[in-house]
Amino acid sequence: MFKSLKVRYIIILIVCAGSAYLFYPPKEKINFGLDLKGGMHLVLEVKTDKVIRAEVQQYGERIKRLLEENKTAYTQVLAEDTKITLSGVPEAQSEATRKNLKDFFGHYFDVSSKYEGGAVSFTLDLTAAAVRDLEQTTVQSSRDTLERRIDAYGVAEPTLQLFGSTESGTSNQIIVELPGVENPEEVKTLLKETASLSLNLVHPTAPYAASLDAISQFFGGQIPADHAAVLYTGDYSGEAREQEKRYIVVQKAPVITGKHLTNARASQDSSLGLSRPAVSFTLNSEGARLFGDATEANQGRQLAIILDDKAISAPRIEAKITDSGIITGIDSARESQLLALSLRSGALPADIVILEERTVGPSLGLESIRQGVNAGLLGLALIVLFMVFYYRLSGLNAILCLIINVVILLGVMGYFRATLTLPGIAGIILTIGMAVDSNVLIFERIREELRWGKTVAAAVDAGFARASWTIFDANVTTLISAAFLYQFGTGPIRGFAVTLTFGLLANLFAAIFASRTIFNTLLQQVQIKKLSI
Amino acid sequence: MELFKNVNVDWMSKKWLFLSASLILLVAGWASVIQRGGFSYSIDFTGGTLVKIKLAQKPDLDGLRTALRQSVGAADVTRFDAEEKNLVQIRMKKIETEETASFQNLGQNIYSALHGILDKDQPTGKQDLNRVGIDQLAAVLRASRVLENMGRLTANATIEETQRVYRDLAVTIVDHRTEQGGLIADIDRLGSLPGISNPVLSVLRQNYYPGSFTVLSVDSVGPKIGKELQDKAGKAVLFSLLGMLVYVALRFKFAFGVGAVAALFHDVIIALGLMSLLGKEISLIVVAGFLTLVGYSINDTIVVFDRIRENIKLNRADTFLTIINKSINQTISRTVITSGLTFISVFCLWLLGGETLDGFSFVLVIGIIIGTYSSIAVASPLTYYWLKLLGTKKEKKVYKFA
Repeated sequence: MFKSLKVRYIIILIVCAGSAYLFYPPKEKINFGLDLKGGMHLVLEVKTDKVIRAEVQQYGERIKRLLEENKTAYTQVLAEDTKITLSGVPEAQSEATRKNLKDFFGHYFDVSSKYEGGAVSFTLDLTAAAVRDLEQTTVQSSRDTLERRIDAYGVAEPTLQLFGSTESGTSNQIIVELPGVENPEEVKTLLKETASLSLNLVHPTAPYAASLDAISQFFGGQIPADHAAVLYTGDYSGEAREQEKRYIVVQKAPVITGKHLTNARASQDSSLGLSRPAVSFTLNSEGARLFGDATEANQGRQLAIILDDKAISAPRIEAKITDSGIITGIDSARESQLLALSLRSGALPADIVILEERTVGPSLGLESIRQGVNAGLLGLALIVLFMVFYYRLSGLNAILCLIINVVILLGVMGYFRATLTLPGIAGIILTIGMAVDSNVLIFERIREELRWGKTVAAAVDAGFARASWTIFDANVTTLISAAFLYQFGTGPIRGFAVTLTFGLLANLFAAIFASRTIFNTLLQQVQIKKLSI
Repeated sequence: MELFKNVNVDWMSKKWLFLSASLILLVAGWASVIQRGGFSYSIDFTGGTLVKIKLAQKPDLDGLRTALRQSVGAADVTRFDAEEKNLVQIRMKKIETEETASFQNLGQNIYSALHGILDKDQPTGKQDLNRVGIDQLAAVLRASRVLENMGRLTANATIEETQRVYRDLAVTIVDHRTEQGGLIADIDRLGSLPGISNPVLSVLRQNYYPGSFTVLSVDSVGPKIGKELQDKAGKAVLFSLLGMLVYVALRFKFAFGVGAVAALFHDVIIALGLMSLLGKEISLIVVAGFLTLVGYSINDTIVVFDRIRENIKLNRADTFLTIINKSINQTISRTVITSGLTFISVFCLWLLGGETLDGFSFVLVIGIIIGTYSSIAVASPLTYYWLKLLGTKKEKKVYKFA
């Protein structure tokens, strides 16, 4: 193959020039990993189970409505985890009920039934496909929300990637990589904030109470079903904030929610003569209509602003408000900026938990690069010395191949925009050590063939022919372990697996093709009689 | 030059020597594993938090430990790397659940605690110059209007230009800080940087103090991730061994695959034991080192096996024992040189590559030595005895057991 030296040199030249072009300028082409340029790596878990339970609860309510519409008698509808049990349906109505349940809920639930004391009870099990479906939607929309928040926060080149798996096989983890983050704690807060906002009317007479018991007492034992007590963290009409926990009672059905917002921005509230941080928002047309109606009808009443299950303030409605409003009860200007940002990018559909955090400062990264480069240069120098000392001019041949090997490796990395991590640098250094291995295998074989009395040309031929397979085998085994490394690792370790793989592939070209070409030149053009090896 | 000329050693007769050498290494390492009650795993596997900080002064480890215990909890506080770098790592192990606030905010809490110990005398109105980011610094400088006052920015400069000029100034300072390893010891010394004139210095002094420490890195791993990783690490090493067995069995014979993988397994367990003996932790990067070792260490074995296969065809009269000895002798020079060259590069990496890669390069430094030894002392003898005891009639005909 490629007998002509000219063709061989052209190929080598094209490969090297192409690699150099792909790699140049290195600053633009090489993408440093977070461990080298500094940044934050987070593994987040989306708590999908809670979302699924809430969804099943809602289906329970829908079943109740369906039964009531059809005037079906029943004793109980119980929604637990991923299962809904409907009990006490009279036998006469059971066939119609079964059909209804199957028609309306069959796409999400497996419906089964059994006799129980003269009546029929039904069990609806959320199917595995439905669980997967819900999980996927939740994770995907969480990812989208996080992406919007990160973009709005202003991180250059963030990456978000789904990862891990639940029992049903969906990815429920999100890997977030944020280069050059200056305030890691702030970013973590931003990512974890659910930012579910709702505005609910406050019960007109119920008191602010220190405990839930006090509230039930006020209502004579039971809070009305359409109301709920929530933790109140805001001020008391301008009074100093109290440290102890307080509750207020609000209507369960919100007037508007975060879904009705079209925009939110940090602003100031100067209503009490003080200038305090706030967030102003604007509403879409549906929100404006709902908000307008509610504020018109309930003037003088308080409206609680509920953020992530806590009422952060409860201002009094003084006039009809339609398409915009202001959220008060925020501690700092920075907090109002972050809240506005979260509201603009929408609420997270589920809670987010941080499973892993790795933050590297830029100075450590810089130090790592320096150390890696030093180690590589020393290794290279020692290897060059040994090769030239031990194999003389043939050693130079090996060094040339080594350079070609590294150039190709860098070119391939540039082409794929592969990320160079600290272990990746280790991979390049290791490649330097392993690259010459191939040359050694070939040279040793050539020496052996020469010892057995072969001519130089025959010895070189045999050396390459015999050693090539060994080199191939050796590289394949290393590639196998690199594949497992890639599978096993994340971030930095994958960077290592990648450089190792590209380095080995480049090695096949350099050690077998390029090195051979140089030997052929010596044999055919210079017509040497003795080989310096 | 040649290091090995006409080597003629009867390797196969030294099996007892090899067996005892391997046993000694194995027992020495694993005795330490047992004595220590198992391996010492890094937070990658146990879960926990590791914070690395750099201090301006020589650290008072006991003081840090006591203060941290009061504010955050029991922490393992040790120095690492070269003494003059004043580097300290703080490690807190075992977090009960991810949901606990302590895990979520540990980085912040540790910073606050350290701040309370190390920079407690700093004025409260000022910020830490060793912690401020580019954006915040640029905003403070811009608010001071220092460049306008100096006449370096004209009154009619556009907002974009003003922003850019102040940002450049902030970048100069932060880049310098990065160059200095994250710590600016003295604000006055920034005067030597381009564009940092006396008025700028005084703005910096008004708003900032040079904090006496900087956080280099924070790693927090929840127990769930740790468990997953433990699982994955074990599987990755086992599957890669299996992959080698399959590949060598395909390219050679099954018995050779067994010999090669036994040698690899030998390398891995001896290296694991020695890691424990020398007090090294098992971390993610160490597992990566082991996987690399598995892929590399088999190369020498393949070189020998290749030669055995060749010699069997060439010397039909020789016994299998003779062929093995001959093959090892013929290939010993390349085995030693190839391993030696790779050893040089990982040794340099171990020497100069820094703290983060220490575990990785160390596994390869000891692994390559053991791997080279085992490709001679374990792989071939094992293949020999496997075929001798379990080989089929046909195999026994090919490999002559005289």
